[in-house]
Amino acid sequence: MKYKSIRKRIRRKRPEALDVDITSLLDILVILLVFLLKSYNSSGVILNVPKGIKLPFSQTKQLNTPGVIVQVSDSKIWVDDQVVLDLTKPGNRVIYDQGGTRIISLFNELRKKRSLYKQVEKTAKGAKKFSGIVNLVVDKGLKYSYVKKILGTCADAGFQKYKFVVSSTE
Amino acid sequence: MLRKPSRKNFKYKFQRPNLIPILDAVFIFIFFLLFSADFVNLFEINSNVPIVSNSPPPKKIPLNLTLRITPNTLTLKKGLNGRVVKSFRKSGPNYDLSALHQSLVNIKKKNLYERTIIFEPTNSVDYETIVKIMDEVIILRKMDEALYRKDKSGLDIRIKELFDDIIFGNIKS
Repeated sequence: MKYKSIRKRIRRKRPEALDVDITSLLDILVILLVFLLKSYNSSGVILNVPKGIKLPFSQTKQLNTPGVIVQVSDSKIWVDDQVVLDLTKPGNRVIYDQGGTRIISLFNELRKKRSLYKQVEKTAKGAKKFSGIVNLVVDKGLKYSYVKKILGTCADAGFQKYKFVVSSTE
Repeated sequence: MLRKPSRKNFKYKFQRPNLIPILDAVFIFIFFLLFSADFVNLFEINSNVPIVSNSPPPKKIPLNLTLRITPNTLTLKKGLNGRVVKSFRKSGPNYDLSALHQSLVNIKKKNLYERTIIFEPTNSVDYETIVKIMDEVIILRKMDEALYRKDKSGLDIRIKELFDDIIFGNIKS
């Protein structure tokens, strides 16, 4: 008969597996999933609405299209999130040309953007053609007298399609 | 001499961590986030730049539908001479947009293939008002009369939009 040593006779206890109740965790994940699905935008266009801009409400359901983004508040103008005109700084003012229908700083920035797109179109294979689309994120309180100057400047810079960005609740 | 106690005598008890209060807190936190979230989606309204063309005028007389927007009145005109179709005065603080919409539906009924409308707002009109008017001009609602036009193969297609090609006619004035 074989004898086991005393050490081997002692039955080793295995540590118990930790049993974690994940039911509530899954509840949270489901809620998060619903939340993410609800806020999902299938257009793929990321539009930043800067502080100081309140978008007008609309019933339209047309999805956004990619293009240059011009954001306009009562005191600032941005092009693709870069400030091109800031009237809050002392001494700054809107400088027009073309008989007061064109905002110079905006026009210069848009021309730069246009030439950049054109350059990419020429040099990169398979690059999309310059669409001439400008997404206008304009504060709802602005008067048409100012909005039309923005529109005129965009047209002069070679952007032929305006896309007025509006908000809509579901 | 005392020696180190044997480890065999110790029993390791795996205490199950109580996650319930933590998860409760996270749950409340998520609800708070959900309620504070603004489910605002961004959409767009199209408009095109008016083009000055040197090409000869079309044989068919264009509808040339124009909407003049002043702080008190909306004036709908058509034709090359700008004949006034109808004027809508403000009733209270708001424009009579439903009357405008109905007039546009009637015009669309007679011009099923027409998509263009020219906007001529005056300087003092605010952007929010223009967007509201654009909505009335573009959207053909389900309650409106169903309009159909023929496609290339001769099939009837339901028209979903009234005048979706909006042009601002006075951006250089």
